[in-house]
Amino acid sequence: MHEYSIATEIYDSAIRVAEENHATSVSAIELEIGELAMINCDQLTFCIESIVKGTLFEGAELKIAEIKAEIRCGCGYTGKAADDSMRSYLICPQCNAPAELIRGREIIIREITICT
Amino acid sequence: MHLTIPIGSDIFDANRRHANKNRKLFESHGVTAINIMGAIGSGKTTLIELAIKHLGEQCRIGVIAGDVVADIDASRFKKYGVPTIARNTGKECHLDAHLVDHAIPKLPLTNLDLVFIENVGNLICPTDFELGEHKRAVIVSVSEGDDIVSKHPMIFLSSDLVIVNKVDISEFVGADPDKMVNDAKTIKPNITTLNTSAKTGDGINAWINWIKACMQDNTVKP
Ligand SMILES: Nc1nc2c(ncn2[C@@H]2O[C@H](COP(=O)(O)OP(=O)(O)OP(=O)(O)O)[C@@H](O)[C@H]2O)c(=O)[nH]1
Ligand SMILES: [Mg+2]
Ligand SMILES: [Zn+2]
Repeated sequence: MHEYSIATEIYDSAIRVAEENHATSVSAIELEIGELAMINCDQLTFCIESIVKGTLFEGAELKIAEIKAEIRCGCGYTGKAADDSMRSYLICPQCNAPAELIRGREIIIREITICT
Repeated sequence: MHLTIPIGSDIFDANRRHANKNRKLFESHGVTAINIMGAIGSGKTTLIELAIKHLGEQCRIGVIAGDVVADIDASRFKKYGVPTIARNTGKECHLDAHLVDHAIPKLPLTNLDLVFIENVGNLICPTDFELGEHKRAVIVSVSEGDDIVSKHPMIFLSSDLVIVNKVDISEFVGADPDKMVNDAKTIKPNITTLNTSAKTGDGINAWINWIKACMQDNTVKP
């Protein structure tokens, strides 16, 4: 899987913001990851920790929250899938029609806490 | 002083922006780009080769080949005399818009009508990474087993065409290509489906016609 490249992307985006804000160090970084983003959070944590060695981010606390998948259907249903099989994320639990997955695949940098 | 700075940006947004830039670049040269995804060994290179054989006289084709390490697939395309750029992805399991961006300037876009981008063989990772393509085709073969489509719904959801290849050997491997096609239709009712065999030539005309239709669609777009 691509945890390492995702970790690099996260670091690149976050460091840009930290530098723009004249950070001298970063104390926390908070991510939100969709449960269907196909990311292994332990691996991601490991990758980020190795990337940030010797940078402004070294020692920052990494918080990862999960974004639950949500689906929407033409019948008006919005909410959870029937169960957590891959299949069920595409089918409306209310009317069995093909539904749209509207949340659960994102990888978001929510915020960073910096010291200036 | 401690300061919390909200960011809220999606990592995939950066890739998407890059992809849109690539797409515009293709379009400004009248080039149609097709992202060829699929399982390892399912026949991605073979089906692109067949397209080059059938369409090479009528339109000018280029290829971006996303090999993981070597340039084995790229050298297969070069044999046909088509401009080919090998994109080594290293350890990566997918192409992303950035890698494709680096390949594009090496292609003679002004002299091309159609670009195939062969993705890395993988049914999971390429899904979320748009490259700047106009259409996505996903190729699986019967030898992956006829559950392969329902095991990996997301990639089918994001594709315009699914090809079930190697139907010539379906009896030997005990897989039902019709089940695979039906599974894809269940996941995405409006997906186009084709059963093909590069060995017997079954379905190859339909594959060629699908490509022609993509190019047509692209030229009529405002
Ligand atoms: N029997 C049979 N073999 C096929 C067919 N299509 C491709 N093959 C064979 O399958 C093998 C893999 O084909 P490729 O076209 O290299 O597959 P690929 O998807 O590009 O493979 P990677 O790029 O390595 O993931 C080759 O030996 C092909 O000759 C087919 O329709 N029937
Ligand atoms: Mg190949
Ligand atoms: Zn419904």
